[in-house]
Amino acid sequence: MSYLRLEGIDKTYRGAPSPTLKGFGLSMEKGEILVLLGASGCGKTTALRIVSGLERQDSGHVVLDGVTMDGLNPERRSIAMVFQKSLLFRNMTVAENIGFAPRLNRAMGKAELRRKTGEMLELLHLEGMGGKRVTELSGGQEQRVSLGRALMAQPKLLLLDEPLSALDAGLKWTLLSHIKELNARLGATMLYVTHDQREAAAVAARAAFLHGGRIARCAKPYEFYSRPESRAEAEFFGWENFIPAHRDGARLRCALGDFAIEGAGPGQGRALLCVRPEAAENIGCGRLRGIVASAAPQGMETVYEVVCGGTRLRLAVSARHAFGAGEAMAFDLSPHMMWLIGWAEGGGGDGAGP
Amino acid sequence: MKGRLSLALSFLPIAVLMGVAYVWPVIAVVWGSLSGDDGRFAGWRNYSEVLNSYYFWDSLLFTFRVSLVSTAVSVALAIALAMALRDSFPGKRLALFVSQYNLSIPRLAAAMIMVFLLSQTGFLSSLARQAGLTESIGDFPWLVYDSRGIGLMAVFVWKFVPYIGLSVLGILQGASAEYEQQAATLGVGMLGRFFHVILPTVVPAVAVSSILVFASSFGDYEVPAILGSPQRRSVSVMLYLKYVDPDMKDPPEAFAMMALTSLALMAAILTYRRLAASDARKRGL
Repeated sequence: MSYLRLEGIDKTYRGAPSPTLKGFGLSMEKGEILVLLGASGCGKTTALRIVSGLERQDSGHVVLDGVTMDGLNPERRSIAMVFQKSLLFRNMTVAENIGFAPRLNRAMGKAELRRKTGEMLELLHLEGMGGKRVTELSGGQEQRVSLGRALMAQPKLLLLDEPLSALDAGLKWTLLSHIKELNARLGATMLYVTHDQREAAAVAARAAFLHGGRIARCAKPYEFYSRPESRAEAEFFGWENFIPAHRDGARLRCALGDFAIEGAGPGQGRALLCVRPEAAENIGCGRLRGIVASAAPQGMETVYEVVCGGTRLRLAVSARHAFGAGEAMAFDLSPHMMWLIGWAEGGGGDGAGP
Repeated sequence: MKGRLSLALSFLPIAVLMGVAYVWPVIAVVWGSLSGDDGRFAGWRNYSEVLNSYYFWDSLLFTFRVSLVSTAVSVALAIALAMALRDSFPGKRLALFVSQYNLSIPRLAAAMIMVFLLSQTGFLSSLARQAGLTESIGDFPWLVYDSRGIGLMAVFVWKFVPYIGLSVLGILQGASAEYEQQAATLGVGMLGRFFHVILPTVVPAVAVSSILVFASSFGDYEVPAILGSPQRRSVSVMLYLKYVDPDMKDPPEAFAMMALTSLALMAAILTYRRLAASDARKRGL
């Protein structure tokens, strides 16, 4: 039986036109990090708040380690939460913040508390900073203290609500490795919410995609990138070009031309060809021809809008190549960066290649 | 040079206004306190008489005690009120209105309301008689016009609770709520959250508003004039009576009392502010 089970959770906020969560269900195993992904405003934070007890669901159940949590106050659930803001208590030192939960809950004696706080500071790579005021910390250090404070409560489940979203990129990757390290060393079960798919790929072996108030799919993060199952999923994971197509067995017809579908099973009818922006290759010598409508330089690459066969494509091309608006561009599309999904949302996909 | 002159001239109206409103009264009080009945310089004589007066000290301590107790009770009740009103519940708008409507009622009216409620011929006394708790008007305790200042404190508390409560409520519904939720998810119960999370976040706002209400009650005239005891007057009432003394003997002493009272109040506020600032530094706020 799963360690955490969320079953049929519905939640509609008063005055909201539609439910935030509808039949939301999820399960995870002990010691696992699971990432809950989804666009901003899709209900990820609501789901976490329901699990923590800060919000009550309209219906459905939260079961942790075989115990139903419904109706229990947050302080009685043994579910700690790290928020987007570090929310460190400014009237306390770093060590006092870290030892906050066991001190107030009288979970350990003074000597043990001191020893464990020291160990946690070491784990967080904050040795020697226990006596500092939290106002003296950097953003990354603050979030590490917040993480340590939550872990010191020895929760059965740790919820992380976009804890790194306010940090700059370099710091973010360092902290992600710290989170993985803590998970491995302490065996903490973590439910991690983010809207950044790269964070998901970096921290977790399994991700759940929340769309339309429910989990649309649960899979390895890489599978979301390479084999999306719906347009919403594809859009979220960076597929930017969607071309209506008609499939006839192993052949595909669309505005870009006729393609052969690799490894296709039987199938016929309307489909949607998804093309990643980084699919463009053989620039200047490919078989497809388009006219550049606009160019947006983005450092190492330039994102072009190219009109090809009556359809508009967004293509990311190395900055080595330079095209101006109105110029012709020859290119090919890498079959590994193309994917076919059913016309209706949710259909299984196939690889497509020219 | 011309630019500097025009800049200085542009500040002149506000400088004159501040001089008239703030500096002149202080000079007038200090000069009056150092003058005799005939208007000539009298040195420290008035101060010496006031400082040797039993009535002055009694009045000063009485006023200080009434203000201190009113402020302390108001703070405690205001925090309790804000805690009760911070979450959503049916009828919250009405509850908010009821808890704040008295902000707009003048103190004079508030004093009259307390007479109606607390006097021996008032509403509570009547209720007590009907409930059989008292047999006659005289059995009901003196809650107004009393030398303990209960009536005064009742008016001040009634007026100050919503004032402090509003500032605390704003904090409890803002950042403090997030910190409290954080503490709850760390397994900390209601009492622990109140003392270790909520209270430290509301202390700065409470400190500021309590200084204001303390100073306001200390210097108040109309409430002690209506509800005070003739045997034990507050400083402001005593000052006024001395100032309007028909034989014109006491006004200089009234000025000395004004100066001493102002100094005492300023000392109390400065001490409080220093304590609050030192506490805030210790807390890293």
